[in-house]
Amino acid sequence: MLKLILCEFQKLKRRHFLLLAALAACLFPFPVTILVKGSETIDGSFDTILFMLMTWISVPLMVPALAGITASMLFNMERDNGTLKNLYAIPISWRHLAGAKIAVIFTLSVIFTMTTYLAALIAAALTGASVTGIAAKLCASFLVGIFYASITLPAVFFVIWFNRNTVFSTLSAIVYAAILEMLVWSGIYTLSAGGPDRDMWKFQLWNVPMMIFRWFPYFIDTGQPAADPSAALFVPLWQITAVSAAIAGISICLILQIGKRREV
Amino acid sequence: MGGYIIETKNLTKQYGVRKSVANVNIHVRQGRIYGLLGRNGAGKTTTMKMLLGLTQPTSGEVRLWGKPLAGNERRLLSRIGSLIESPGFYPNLTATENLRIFATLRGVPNRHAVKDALELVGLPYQDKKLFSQYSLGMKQRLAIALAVMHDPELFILDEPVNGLDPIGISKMRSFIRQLCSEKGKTILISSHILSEISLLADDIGIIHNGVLLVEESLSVLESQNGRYLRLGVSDASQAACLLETALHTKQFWIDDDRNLRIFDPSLSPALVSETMFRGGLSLYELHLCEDTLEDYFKRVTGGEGIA
Ligand SMILES: Nc1ncnc2c1ncn2[C@@H]1O[C@H](COP(=O)(O)OP(=O)(O)OP(=O)(O)O)[C@@H](O)[C@H]1O
Ligand SMILES: [Mg+2]
Repeated sequence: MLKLILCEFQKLKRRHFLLLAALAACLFPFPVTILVKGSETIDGSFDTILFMLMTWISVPLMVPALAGITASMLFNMERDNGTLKNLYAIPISWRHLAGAKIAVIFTLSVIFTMTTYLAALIAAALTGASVTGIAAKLCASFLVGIFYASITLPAVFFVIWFNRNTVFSTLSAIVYAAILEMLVWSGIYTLSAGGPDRDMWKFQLWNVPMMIFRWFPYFIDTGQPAADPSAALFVPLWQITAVSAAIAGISICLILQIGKRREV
Repeated sequence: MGGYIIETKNLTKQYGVRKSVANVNIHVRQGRIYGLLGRNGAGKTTTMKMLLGLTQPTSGEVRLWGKPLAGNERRLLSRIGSLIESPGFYPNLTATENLRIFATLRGVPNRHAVKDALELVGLPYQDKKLFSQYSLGMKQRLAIALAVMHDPELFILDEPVNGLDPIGISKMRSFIRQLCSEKGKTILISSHILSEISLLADDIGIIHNGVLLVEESLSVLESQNGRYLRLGVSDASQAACLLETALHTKQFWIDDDRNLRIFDPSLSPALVSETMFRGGLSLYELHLCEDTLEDYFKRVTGGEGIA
């Protein structure tokens, strides 16, 4: 299986899009840091910058787009170039092949969030912000990558299901990413619009991107969440893990199922 | 069973209502070159895909080395090198990178396998050229390299000379013959070009509209099927009835309302003329004609009187 995954990375060679994505991950933190530093309402700590990047500005848009586009590349590539017959004749089953591709999607997502983390760390250090809890934040960044990759998988399934050309698949991935980003914005709007006695049982607050948004600060601030006045907002790790795992599990089952019936 | 490398039992593939391959029984023997001959859309590729487990047969069975393919894919397929339809490679990679991927996935132990395979088909090893920049012939060669790379015992090659220039074709031919004669490999090769097959194959199967019409060794085909009887009679359709009822043969072809050809080698001119007289038909002409293999192929695949 490891061989298969490494080969999937080989197949992405000379796809410059991935370099662009990596570049975006590196660059995003710098303008955000500068903006936050210049602002008077937001405190410019490393925590806040990372929180904004991971759950609000960069990752919710970039990771689903990156993962979705990479997935459509990986899956369409085999179909468009007639390489499936060579693979099946080895024999490599669809299960293994699709499994390897999904592993690549997860890996790239995590690489993206880790790069964002590192870049944010450097940006924070350069601007002289205090940096604490490096390990917990690294762990949180890793998990954010996993969660966002998980909730991109339904889009991957639909891309495979529709079985269209790369332009259509890429556009779908971008639209899906934009929807996720919009969920975060509408959730934040709902939060800030309501007072302390706001209604917590709204869809705007209980979709996965918003759950990640509400889990992240709780997780990196491992001290005393209960002491925080807005503790009711926080989502524990197990909830977000369970939801993403369920979404990922169902999507993976569907992906494995749909390819099995297709013949070359 | 008799030690066939490939044996199919009533292999059938149905797409929608149409049978692309119908009850095909192929027998490929060890160390021979088997040519599967058929016109476009005859079902060659579909048959080969089923032999490789790329598509599931609607019914029937594929046996390789005496074992059913279904359930033994891992063990059996690794002994086969194949080329199906157009070459399939990643356009953003070089030839070497492409082969490396497949060598890794196949677990080819020989570290020089990629280089050797490329040398064998005459492609450069250290080349920056991407697969997408390759010409059709070069792509085809790369596909052959992929098929030979893991040194399989059996080759299944679907129109391997497609896109090659004449020199390339003749090289490919001697290469395939070498594989068979020097290394003892078994080869199943398909083509719609008769001359290609007749220059290469030991055994021939002719497939038409999904039906395997003939399966015979080339030498037998050449000796036996080159002959037919040409008949001029007063009423061709009545003569056709007579042939079917009295002589129990369907191997004939009605040219027009007065002329027929009989291809059944077991029928002598004397027997045919006698039957015609008994049936009350007047026989104007009776010729024993020689057929080239080309005529034979045309007749078998394009003729109407062949059941
Ligand atoms: N996936 C498919 N769905 C529906 N029909 C198919 C499919 N694949 C093949 N066919 C049909 O099966 C028949 C046989 O096709 P096949 O590709 O086996 O022919 P072939 O002998 O390889 O022809 P050629 O010399 O053109 O390569 C054709 O009529 C084709 O239209
Ligand atoms: Mg074909």
